[in-house]
Amino acid sequence: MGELVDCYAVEIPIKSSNVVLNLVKRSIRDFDSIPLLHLRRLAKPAYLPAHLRVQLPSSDNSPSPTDASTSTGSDTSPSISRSTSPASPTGSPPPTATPRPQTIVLLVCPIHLVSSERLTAILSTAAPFLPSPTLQVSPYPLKLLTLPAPLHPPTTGQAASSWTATHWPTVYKRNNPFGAHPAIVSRAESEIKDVAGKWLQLAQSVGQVCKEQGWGIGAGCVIVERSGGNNGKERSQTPTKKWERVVAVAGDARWYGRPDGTNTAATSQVESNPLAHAVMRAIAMVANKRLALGSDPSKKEQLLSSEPDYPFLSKPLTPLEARYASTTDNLSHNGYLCLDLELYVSHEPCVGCAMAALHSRFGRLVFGRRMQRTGALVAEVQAGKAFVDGGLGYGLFWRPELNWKGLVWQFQREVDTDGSEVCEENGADEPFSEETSV
Amino acid sequence: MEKREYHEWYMREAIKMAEGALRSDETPVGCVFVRDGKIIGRGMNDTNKSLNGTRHAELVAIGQILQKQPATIFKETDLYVTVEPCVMCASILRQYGIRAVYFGCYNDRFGGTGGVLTIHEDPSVDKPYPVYGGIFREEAIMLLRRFYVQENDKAPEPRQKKARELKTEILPSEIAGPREL
Ligand SMILES: [Zn+2]
Ligand SMILES: [Zn+2]
Repeated sequence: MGELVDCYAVEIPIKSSNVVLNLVKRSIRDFDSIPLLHLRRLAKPAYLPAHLRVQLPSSDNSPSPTDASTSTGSDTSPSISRSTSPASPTGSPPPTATPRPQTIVLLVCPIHLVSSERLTAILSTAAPFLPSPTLQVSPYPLKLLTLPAPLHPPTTGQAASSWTATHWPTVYKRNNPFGAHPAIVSRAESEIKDVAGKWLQLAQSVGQVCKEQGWGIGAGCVIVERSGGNNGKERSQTPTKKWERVVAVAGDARWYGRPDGTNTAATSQVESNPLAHAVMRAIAMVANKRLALGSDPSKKEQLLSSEPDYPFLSKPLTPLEARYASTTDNLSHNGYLCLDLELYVSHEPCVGCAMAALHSRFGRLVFGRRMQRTGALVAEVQAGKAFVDGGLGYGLFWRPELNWKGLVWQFQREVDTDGSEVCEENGADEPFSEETSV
Repeated sequence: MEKREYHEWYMREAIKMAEGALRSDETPVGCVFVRDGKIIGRGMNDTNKSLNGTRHAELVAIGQILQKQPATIFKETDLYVTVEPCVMCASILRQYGIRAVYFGCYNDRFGGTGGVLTIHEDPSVDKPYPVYGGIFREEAIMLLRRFYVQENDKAPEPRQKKARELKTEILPSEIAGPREL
């Protein structure tokens, strides 16, 4: 098993699991500094080793006359627990005894990150440990457990099961939960590093053209296809000439006027349309191409460049967009969504756009400007900053709990000795508010 | 939850949309947007037909609503959706300022309002919104199961096992059971 690390755990009513988890994440400095992704963050009492289970408040066998069935210690079914709504119907009298809530045990963090006094103080502000406003439910007993847990992930499924029995529920994952294989990252980097600057510049121009029309904030994106795809299966055998080509480009058009002529740029500020963020639009353009590739030529025109389809705006709005959008010659046949395509965005995308990129199966994304308060890709949070100023910390492209992952880079230009890059940056239009979601 | 029957009535309409999705070989997720008791938009999943992985029921319905109405309308509008909104939809809904979201079952693959992440209430520049889960949860899950069985029947033999595994993926595992209504 190797090294062990002492961790805190606390039992909480199941319905408060997210609230409490978010609270400790927010309140404990360097919460994620030791990634214990192989340990279940939340575990049902029934799955804990017996010596831990008996220490839980729920195993205290004081009588609970109203609801014996939710006593979690007896729940040995590995299937999904059936939900029983603990709420009483409106108007019924308050229960005479508090029913025992279904509980779950939260593995908080290694004990060196926070003292038990401080953690108790933090947790005691969470809803389940406070008296409820209606006084119908008594607060759940707050009891901190300390336990040794394996620091490193198991290398076999067998090890995972045995640690689960002796220490804490442990997961074995064949794929690496801590990031992509270094060889994959370095090959990807060598492929994109010389061209990323060019594509980001194009992304910026695409956004700028829309901005000049009063349609958007000036953000833009470029979708690129590369010979041999990104998984490199065929490439080693066939050292033919490598190529890459632009599949689609789109500018942010959140203020594009509605078809009835209302919501023109003049009245725009109140009515922003996130469906027309640059990434959303470009993804829709690729979908249109896939539809066009599969339909007869007479419909092609209609699919690729008809009137703007409000509010998705998946048809080109500017000549620059039309240059890439109005043909299917720049996209391979038989592709699936945006699998194996690359996404270059002028700014760090918002949560909606980043997840849209994951739904579309992008494997690589490069962005230019970091959006400190709205960007979904950077995983690090600046310590000691309030609200969203320190960043959202989602790291959305590599979340072990999501079903698709990809590689992300923030592109930083090397500044020439004569400072030319710096001048260009300063010469651009004044940046929009940091509050803006891209 | 107050006025449970009121909410159930709209969720039944959302389930009808999900059933429509099932009939057209789309993942059965359906939704309705409700303002002042009136349904102002309906949507069903459309990712397979559109070849666009972002055409979820919620975004399809928003697209329909925005053709006629200003985006400001969402501040007075509630969403009823059979499956918890995903991370993408949860964020888009927040950016539009949705008033509240009512859903059936959790989505433990990419749920954005409690299933995996809590995009509706996390720190953000946009106003948070309340969510209420568990309305006709069993019905929502049954529709998804029917879909996976239906897909399995179409799949050639060797793929059967893999496809069959999918059917439980949507069910809550680590975070079980909807939050109290
Ligand atoms: Zn966005
Ligand atoms: Zn969605």
